[in-house]
Amino acid sequence: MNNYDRIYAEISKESEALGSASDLDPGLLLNLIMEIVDMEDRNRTRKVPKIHQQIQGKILLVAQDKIRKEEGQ
Amino acid sequence: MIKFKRIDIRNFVCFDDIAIEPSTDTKKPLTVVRAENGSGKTTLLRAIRWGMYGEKGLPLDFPLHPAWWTPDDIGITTLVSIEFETDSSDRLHKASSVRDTVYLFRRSVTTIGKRTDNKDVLDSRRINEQTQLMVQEIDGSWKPLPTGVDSVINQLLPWELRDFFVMDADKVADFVGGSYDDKELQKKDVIAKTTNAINGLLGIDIFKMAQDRVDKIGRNFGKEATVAVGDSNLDDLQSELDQLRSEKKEFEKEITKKSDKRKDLVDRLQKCNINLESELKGIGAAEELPVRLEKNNKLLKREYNRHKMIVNQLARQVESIEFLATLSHTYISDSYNTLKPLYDSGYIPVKHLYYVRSLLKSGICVCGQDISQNNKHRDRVLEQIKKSSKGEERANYLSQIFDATRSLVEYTPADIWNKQCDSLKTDLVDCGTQIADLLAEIEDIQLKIDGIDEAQIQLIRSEMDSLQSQIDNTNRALAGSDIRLSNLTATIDSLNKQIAQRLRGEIIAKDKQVAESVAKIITKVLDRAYNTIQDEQVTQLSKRMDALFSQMIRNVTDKDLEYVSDKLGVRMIAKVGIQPIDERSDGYEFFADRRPDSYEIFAHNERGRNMKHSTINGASRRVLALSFVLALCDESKTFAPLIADSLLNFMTGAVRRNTLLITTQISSQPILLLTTGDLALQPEVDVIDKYAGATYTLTGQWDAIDASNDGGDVLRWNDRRLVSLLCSCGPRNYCDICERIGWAKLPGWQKRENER
Repeated sequence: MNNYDRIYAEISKESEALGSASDLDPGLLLNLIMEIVDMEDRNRTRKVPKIHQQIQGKILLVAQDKIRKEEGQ
Repeated sequence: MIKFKRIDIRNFVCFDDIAIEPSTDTKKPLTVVRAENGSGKTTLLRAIRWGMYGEKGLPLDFPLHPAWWTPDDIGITTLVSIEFETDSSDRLHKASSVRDTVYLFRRSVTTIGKRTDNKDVLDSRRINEQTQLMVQEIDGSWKPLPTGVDSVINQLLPWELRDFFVMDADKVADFVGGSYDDKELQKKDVIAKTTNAINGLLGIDIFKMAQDRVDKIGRNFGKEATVAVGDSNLDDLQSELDQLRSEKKEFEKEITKKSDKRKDLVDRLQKCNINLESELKGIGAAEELPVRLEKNNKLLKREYNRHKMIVNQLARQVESIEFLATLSHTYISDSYNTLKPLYDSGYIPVKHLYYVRSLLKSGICVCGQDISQNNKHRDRVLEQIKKSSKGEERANYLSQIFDATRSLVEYTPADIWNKQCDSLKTDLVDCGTQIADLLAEIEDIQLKIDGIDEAQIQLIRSEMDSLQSQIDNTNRALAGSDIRLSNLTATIDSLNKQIAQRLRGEIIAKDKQVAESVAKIITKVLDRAYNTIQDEQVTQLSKRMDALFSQMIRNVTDKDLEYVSDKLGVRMIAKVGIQPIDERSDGYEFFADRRPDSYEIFAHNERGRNMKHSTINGASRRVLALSFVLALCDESKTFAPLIADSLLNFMTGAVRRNTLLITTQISSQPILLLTTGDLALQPEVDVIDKYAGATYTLTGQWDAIDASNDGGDVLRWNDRRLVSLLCSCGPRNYCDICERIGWAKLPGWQKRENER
């Protein structure tokens, strides 16, 4: 993305704000969103195989990580 | 970055074989293809579009066919190949290597004749469309790549952006209304096209795509969570389970109680049995005694029969031969002993007389004397034989007696008889013992039978029957209870499974619910970031557009506005840009489910009021739209060729000059298809002289053919092919290919040496 840095900065800012407010690790959230954005970007020009399932799996992993952390506390 | 190095077109509509090498000089990046109207500029643009995007790059009614060609069965191949270099960056991504790579992609299709019923009508069809992508090796050779042309083109210049980089400028005005007749459709279409262009070219549509996908995934997580939990209520299930467990516990107590009772009954039954046995004096059950008695009587009777039989057999032994032989054995032994010495000494039987008779037959005595007929010796011998004859008879008789006695002595009948008698005696004794035992046992049984207390036994038996009945009832009850317990256990197991499943479902549901909430957060982050970046970029784009528009209309005079109508001109426009609109507020059902994230181009007058597109004249709308397209190309930082047809149409004076200059400066590789009229004035020529690294002129041969009839103005032509020829003439050059009437007389025009 030619405006990757700007997108990263904005998503980073919003991840920090919304992640903290919902007990989600902002760094983890940022990485996840950037991964999703990157996959979508790649998918636009060359189809990413099973992109839907891949993103679904990544979100689920983050959710399970959150649950484990909550249960560990 | 992508830069075209060479474009080859063969057998494409009005081109039989032309090649254009766009300028790759960074200081003189402009390539100009000059042509009169109808000489193939638009066809050239379409050839490039077809090469890049295939038939979808062409208008639906575009008649793709080979140049000046009569269909036949062999067919002819139309080919467009484009050689380009790239630094490995694509439209949206920076380069990952420093080395430029040169590619060549080709698209070809073969058109073959198709026979029709009407001999005068020729038809054709296209077959075997092929694409090929090759990369140039260090030694200059081409190596085919497996990657499809379409995916590479899509990566570098996606189909959606065709109007921006392979641009028919006549269509650009669509961004500000274009030529639509249906006003409603027009506005919706214009807004959609503008919005898509902004989102697509700025690359922020990724947000939207990601957001839509994550939103969908989130909703799916929500649905899956609902499904995982199911309809059953965990509390209800747990309550039912507790109730069943309690019931089972009570039931198990009941079963234990019944089992204890059965054990007690069995114990009592055993005691009764012992009592009964005791009562029956340890001989077993009372009913067994008569059976045993009867059995013993039968055995006794059989033994008596056997005894009688043995006695009879013993009696018969007295009459047996062996007994008689035994009795005479002493006398026979005496006879034998008397005769044996006679036998042993040869007196019996007499054998010598037989020898003497044989001598008589021979006639010679043992002493040698003649004892033949009528001889005294013979007579004496005969005398002696006669005397001895009686003795011979007696001796032979005694010999027979001896043989008989000897046989009888060797036969031992006494042993056999004694053995038989001994066996019978043993049997008789055994039989007597058996009889005695049986009689004793019979007497014993009889005594026991006589000693049984029938009343007591009956009492015990009644008790035992009662106990057995109770045990049977208890057993039946226990069997029923077992079934019920088994059913209860099965129900509890099933409930346990349901609860376990439900608990598992809850775990899954929790995962999905949290995943749904994570998806919502992601959607929100994307939404906020999208809005912020979109606002920023649209603001930036708007500013850039306004700046470009201002540059385009700089120094404009009334004379410049060739097509001034009663509509408002460019000088009335004080500010242009992009503005967000909420289509829902306008009542467009088409956008009813969308957020107000659409955009349209606006033009404000000096008082800051919005000017309706329909009130702005055509040339001004064109400049307005071009400022949008060029601003978007510039803001998107897309380093790609900008191939524009009819860019300067309807423009004159300063606007035309400014637009030419700005387009040239903004694009990394502008390839402009212009008319001779576009380049009539010196300022435009100056721009081209300054920035053009390559110039071409297209000449339609049909103009020359017209000249042979009534006024086509191409001077020289030497074949009658209806094709457009290409030469390298610049704005004020002409050659034998492109020279038209009057060009040689025009001031500043120079003839180039012909080239073909």
